[in-house]
Amino acid sequence: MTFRAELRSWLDANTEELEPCRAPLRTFDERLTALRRLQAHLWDAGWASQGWPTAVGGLGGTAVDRAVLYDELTRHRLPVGGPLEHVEILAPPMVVHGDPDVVRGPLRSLLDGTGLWCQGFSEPDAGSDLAALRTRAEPLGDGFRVNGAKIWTSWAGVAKWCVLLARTGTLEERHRGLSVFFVDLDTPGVTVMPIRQANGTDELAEVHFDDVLLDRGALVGRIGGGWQIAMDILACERTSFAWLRHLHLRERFASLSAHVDRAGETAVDLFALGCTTAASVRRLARGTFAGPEAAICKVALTTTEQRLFDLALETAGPELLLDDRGDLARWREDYLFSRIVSVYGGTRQMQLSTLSRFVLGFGPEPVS
Amino acid sequence: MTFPDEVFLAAATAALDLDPPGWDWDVLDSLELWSCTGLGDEDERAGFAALFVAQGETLRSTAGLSALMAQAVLTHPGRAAATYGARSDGHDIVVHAAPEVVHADLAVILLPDSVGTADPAALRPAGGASIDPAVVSTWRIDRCDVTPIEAPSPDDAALTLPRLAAALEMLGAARRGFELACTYAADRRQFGRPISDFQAVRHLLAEGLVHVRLLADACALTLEQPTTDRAILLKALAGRNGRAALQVAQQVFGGIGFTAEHVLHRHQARVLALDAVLGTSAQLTRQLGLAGAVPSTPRLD
Repeated sequence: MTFRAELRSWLDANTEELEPCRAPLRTFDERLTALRRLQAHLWDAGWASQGWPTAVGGLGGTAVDRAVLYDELTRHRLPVGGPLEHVEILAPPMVVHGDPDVVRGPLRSLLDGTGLWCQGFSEPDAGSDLAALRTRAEPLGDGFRVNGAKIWTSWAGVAKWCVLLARTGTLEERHRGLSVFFVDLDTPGVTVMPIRQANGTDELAEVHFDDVLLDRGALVGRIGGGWQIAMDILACERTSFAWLRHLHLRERFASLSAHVDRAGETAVDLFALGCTTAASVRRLARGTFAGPEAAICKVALTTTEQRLFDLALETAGPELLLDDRGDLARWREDYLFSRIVSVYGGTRQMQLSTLSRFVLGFGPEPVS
Repeated sequence: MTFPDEVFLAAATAALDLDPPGWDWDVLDSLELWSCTGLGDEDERAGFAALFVAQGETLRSTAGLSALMAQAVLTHPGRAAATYGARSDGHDIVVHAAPEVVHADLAVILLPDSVGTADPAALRPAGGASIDPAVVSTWRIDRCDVTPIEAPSPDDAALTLPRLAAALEMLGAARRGFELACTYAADRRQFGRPISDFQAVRHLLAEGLVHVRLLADACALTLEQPTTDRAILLKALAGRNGRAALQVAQQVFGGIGFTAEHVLHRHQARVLALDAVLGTSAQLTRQLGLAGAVPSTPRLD
């Protein structure tokens, strides 16, 4: 039997056990609990470790296996994403760039749902200009001492591990002076402060580092090699994550069931997004991170998600804004979240600048 | 990663460039298009895609699309070519068809609810001009010259390959027009610098790139996993993104791109003409919306 066929029969045979992960989940906390529970089931049955190298505790296989897993989960009306989206954003580059002995433990806890990850990139003064970040990791003894602050860190409030991009060189070195560390958020000196968002959830957080001491083993890759890892992470956020997100959006679109003219536009958007993210997952499975072309997927995701929830808002009518009966609260939360898709993971404008500079080959933008 | 395969695309481009022009049945034979109507293996798919993308890029034409339409209706089409649409006008039937139809051995006339065949010599040019006469023009035929046959009018399922072919040609036409605009942006100087230095122009072209790449990826996936529904979605996408990419090109070219001597308008005409047949983007999108269609997920395994 193929992986997909085996997975399907397992999902069908375990409908009852999985039901609590599937029930309509109104609150953010309920959804988080359900996702963790689902991930524990998937780990115990061996599905969550499929698609990861054996060196880091996986069963082998590629990103295609993982993509098939998400496809089958959504077909069985099970949730994908939430804080587990870092399985597709952070984990693939960490597995490639990190020492297997360092990555194995955190990866296992991510995959079984007990130890989630977060991405420590943005800072108050380093948003689109990520290479201007100031959080410092200075050598101390056999390890490092970290000082600084991150902001807009998704899921930090519920995470155990932070993939931290920090400055090990000088500010003038810009992107060449950065390194990546695996930081246990329970380490003394780390403070996480959730940020209440416009859509009512507190997915984002500030993460402060005050004299945080790290072992040598916390370093991923080499000193000064952080930028490439960060670029590969951003590429995954725009491609393999976009595949997962597209499956989620497809389910939301199906449940909207809007039989109106302009729903066709979103159907076409989702079709195109599915095709382009599928192609990117296949490239990833062949061992190639997407590079600047990943921006194409992100622009497509942005357009699709915003138009889908525009459609939801306009077809649901004023109740979506005025009431929270049934699933209206969820639609409102999703509508509001869709407004920020053109910002997170690189703004739409940064994506367009990346494409024109590197893919169209126009070179750096002259500043006049 | 290029689509379609570069070697096949070069072969198709060379075949379309034969001197004297062999851009009729000979080209189709040389590319063995007729062995690949099932799109069974990778080479067949690459040949199919290359022919239609090359037509769009070079603005040449073959009987390919009309022949695919005939294949959608006839079991043994041979060198038959079908019309795209028809209406009655007194004793005549007025049809839209590719000019290559007159070179076919048999013309298949697709009426709203029935199908007939005719001797291509019975087709008379109806005068007037379509936006791209190389793709489609208008013909008249006397009703008496059309022999009704026992065949259902092609439904969405039968139109799967023709729609895929049309989308591939629209990709070729739109992508080449867009690439010309990218080259122009790097060459054209204003305010003492290439206009590609300006962020407004860069971002515009980057949006155009997204339109073109999404269409290319969708063509590749549909070619690999063709279904009736995907072909409808693809044809709708091709019209929408093809036009959008060429609007970007028009904007970057400025006035020169709006002149008859510049080739851009021919790329635009090709895309518009192909959008006009086998269901326009607007018609198909509306149909999808009203039906509550949800695209099926691509298979990765």
